Amino acid sequence: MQDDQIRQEVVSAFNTVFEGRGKNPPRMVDSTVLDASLGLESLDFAQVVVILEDQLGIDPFADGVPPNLRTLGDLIELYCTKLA
Amino acid sequence: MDSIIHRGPVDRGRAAVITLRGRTSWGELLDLAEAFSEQVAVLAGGKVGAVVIASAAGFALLAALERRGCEAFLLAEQLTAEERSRLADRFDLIAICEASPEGNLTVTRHGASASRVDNAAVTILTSGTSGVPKAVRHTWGQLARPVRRTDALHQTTWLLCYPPALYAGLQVVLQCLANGGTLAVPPTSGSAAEVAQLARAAGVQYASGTPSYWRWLLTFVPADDLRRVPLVQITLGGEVVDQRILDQLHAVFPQARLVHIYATTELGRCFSVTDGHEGFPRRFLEQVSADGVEMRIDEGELVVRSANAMVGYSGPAPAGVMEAGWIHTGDIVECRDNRCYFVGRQSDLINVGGNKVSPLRVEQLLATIPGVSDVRVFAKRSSLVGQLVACEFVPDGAAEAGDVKRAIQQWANDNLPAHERPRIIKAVQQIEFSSAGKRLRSE
Repeated sequence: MQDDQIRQEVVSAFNTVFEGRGKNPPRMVDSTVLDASLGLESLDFAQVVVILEDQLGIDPFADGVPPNLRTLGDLIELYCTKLA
Repeated sequence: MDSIIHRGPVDRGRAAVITLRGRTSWGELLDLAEAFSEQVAVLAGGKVGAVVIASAAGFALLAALERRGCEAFLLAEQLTAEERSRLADRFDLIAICEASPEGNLTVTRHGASASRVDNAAVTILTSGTSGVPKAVRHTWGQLARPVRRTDALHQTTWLLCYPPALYAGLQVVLQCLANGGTLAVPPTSGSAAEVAQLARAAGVQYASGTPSYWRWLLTFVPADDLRRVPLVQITLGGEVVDQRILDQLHAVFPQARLVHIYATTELGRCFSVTDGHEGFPRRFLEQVSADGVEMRIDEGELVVRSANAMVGYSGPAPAGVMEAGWIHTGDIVECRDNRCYFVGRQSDLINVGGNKVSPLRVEQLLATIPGVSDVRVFAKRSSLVGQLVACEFVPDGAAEAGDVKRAIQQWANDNLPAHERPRIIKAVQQIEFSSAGKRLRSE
């Protein structure tokens, strides 16, 4: 799968979660920090990962949360590496 | 001696079993039981696997094995030959008997075990929700103990909505045939329309099923067709019975008595409630019932001692279930005022980051949202928080699935704490249930 497609899926998963919460999805870029400032709670992140597992067929968190995961760019890279 | 079949004089011409394909008379049923009894004479006193098909021949086989003092291990007809063989090994069975719907009996010898039993018995194999099969042993006498034999029930017509290899199904078979009645047997995995068609044609008066089964009939058969079934009593059991299903059934069958039963394979029938309300009166906890059932609540769990209970497990007992005649049911009960309510099973609780969520409670709340016809809540595995709440819903006839999904999300955001909100929401045509008629709690 192309990295661009993976990026789209990841962003789309976040959009789904925001919409489910009744919020307008913010514009997300690689440097967007994935923490409470985004307006999402820990269960929302868990939801993103479950949606991506359905879409991409993998769960990079199955063996624990990798260190140094901070931004959207880090997350996309994690999925790209696992799917490479 | 004959627990399954009526002991008094019978009208040999009267139908004992009716299916969509035809009928079997009482005379034919008695002759089949007699013939099978001759054929299984060589197995007398042995541990025997019995494939229980939902037909006169299947019931005649059980009667024959009882007459020969066998311990019958009830095998569901869906089991593959390999699964049957594995069970035969595990329980040291000397043979597996299978009757065809046409009334031919096949006896397959299995091993040369000399295991013998003292009394005719029945072992029910129940997978439960944990997936580890338990083998629950009853005597025929214990199984038949809750069966009522009264003039009012004599020669009544019943509908079989449970697999007959399970406790609930066996109770219906016993209750009907012990009263010289007529049992209407729908085709295995038949449609709701076929069930209703058979029930109308047979003139079914008594029907017993799980709430999931009744919801399925109410969803897929027009109410006017259902009303043509002359029901005098509707029984619900096997799952938590809520007010919604009781009210829905009352609206379609205002003349029928509504009964909900609490029973488990191990404990047998414990109590029934006939006042049309969900839950049960708190006084049930304070006295031994006329049926010999005592109940208490231990850290929220219903714990019961029952005179209708099993003899014991065939093989090892599951850990933590039995304690000096008392059995831990795994069912969670909450009492408010003078009423006790079932909240669900301990094993069904969804663990969302350490918070326990009752899928049943969330289901009951979501079912009240306009546009939702039916809904199932279950656990979705999550690597980050253990499990998340997921749901499937059936949109009401006129409603658009996308709109209903948004309504569910909005309602959950406004009314539920974060851990109880369904995170994965999907529209489906119908809510699936297990062969035992129970709603599935896994993905």
